[in-house]
Amino acid sequence: MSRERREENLRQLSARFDDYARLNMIERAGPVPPEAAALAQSVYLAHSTSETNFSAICESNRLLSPQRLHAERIRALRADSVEALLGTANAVFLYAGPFRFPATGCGVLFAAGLETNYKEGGLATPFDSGGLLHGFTRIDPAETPAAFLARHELPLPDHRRYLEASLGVLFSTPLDYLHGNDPAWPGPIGLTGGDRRRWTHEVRLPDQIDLRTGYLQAVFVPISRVADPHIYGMLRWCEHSGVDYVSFNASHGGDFETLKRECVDYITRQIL
Amino acid sequence: MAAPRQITELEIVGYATVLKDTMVPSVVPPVFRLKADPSCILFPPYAFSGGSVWNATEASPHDLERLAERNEITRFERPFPAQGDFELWVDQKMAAHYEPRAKADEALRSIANDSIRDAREAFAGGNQAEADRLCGVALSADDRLVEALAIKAAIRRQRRDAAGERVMGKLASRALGL
Repeated sequence: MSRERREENLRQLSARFDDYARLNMIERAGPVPPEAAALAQSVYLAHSTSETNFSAICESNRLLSPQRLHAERIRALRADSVEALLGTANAVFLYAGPFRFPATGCGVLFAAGLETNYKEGGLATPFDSGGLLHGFTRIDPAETPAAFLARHELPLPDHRRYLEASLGVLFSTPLDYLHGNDPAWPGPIGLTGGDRRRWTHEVRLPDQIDLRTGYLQAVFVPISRVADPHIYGMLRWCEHSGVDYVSFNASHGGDFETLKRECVDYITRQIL
Repeated sequence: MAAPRQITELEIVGYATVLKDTMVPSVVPPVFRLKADPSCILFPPYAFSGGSVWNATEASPHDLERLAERNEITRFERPFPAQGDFELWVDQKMAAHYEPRAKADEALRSIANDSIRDAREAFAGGNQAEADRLCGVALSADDRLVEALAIKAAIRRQRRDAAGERVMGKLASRALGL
């Protein structure tokens, strides 16, 4: 899909948003709250995974798309996988927000500026694409998930304008987006079901992302995982390069709640 | 979020991470399945209270399969019944144990203490690599063991690795809640 098409999608979605706000009498008279603007402009791009996957990522220094994992014989891409069915297998998946993928133990945040490098090849959707096949319900079941997805693919970094409008109007407070609390108003997209990923912006970047670049904002690992040489190597590189790393006690293993809380606290400290 | 489920209604089908040999022993969070409805899978995060599992993420067997393929979870060949106040942990041979919490805590504490004792001896004997490895085992068993981080820091100081020493210092500060 061309950037022009994604820009047209953003125009149409913004128009639907304005209609929705008018119809429900929730239009904002003044400027958006400063927290909404700050969060929308600067919220980081998050990716979290299991400890073993994270060790491999640290070793290879790359986040890889499912297609790249398949091509390098690391993990087979099944024809019935969500990514294959939706045509998203060439993408590395990130959230514009805190870690959202459940049951993960380690993660990385990239600066929002990374998006500007992918104005052509990257895109965003105002929901988790995988949820369209498993978790979310669409208003019109006759429309295929792939067609619905294509209508909502937005350009980078302009999708953040829609995020800003959402944060300022749909949520009781912009902090609800960060904390994973549902918006007070569902908005014009028309998805129901699933969890907070229904309204979290997903950013998809092509093929692979190098970790050790100027865009790496922070690394999150349980203290115990410093015993893994590849994870330790990443922390040491962060220390040497002035990149933040956040460590935490998680003796009870795979403590996603702790990972998520540390991430939300970090974003709050840095951006708000 | 799923409705609260009595722990006795559940069985364990795996755990919500994948571990390497550099990450054990470790307590791991169980992935549950409803005994009466095997299509209902419960993932962490969740909370235990009053003999029930609260606020779990409810998912399908498809999700279970998808996460296993992505190397995000480990599945057991045979599910087994969940029990109240039990802990699931994986030992250094990658064998899973499911036993009363107090017994599991005792086993892990014992591994941590033995590893620290051996790490001290290895360090004193000049075997840095073995001391470093043993500290990793101790940390995997108990990540509040600041002594393991202190020995790791000392090893890096001996190696004149200033960045590595600072990493261990910062981790120790976090372990102490500073």
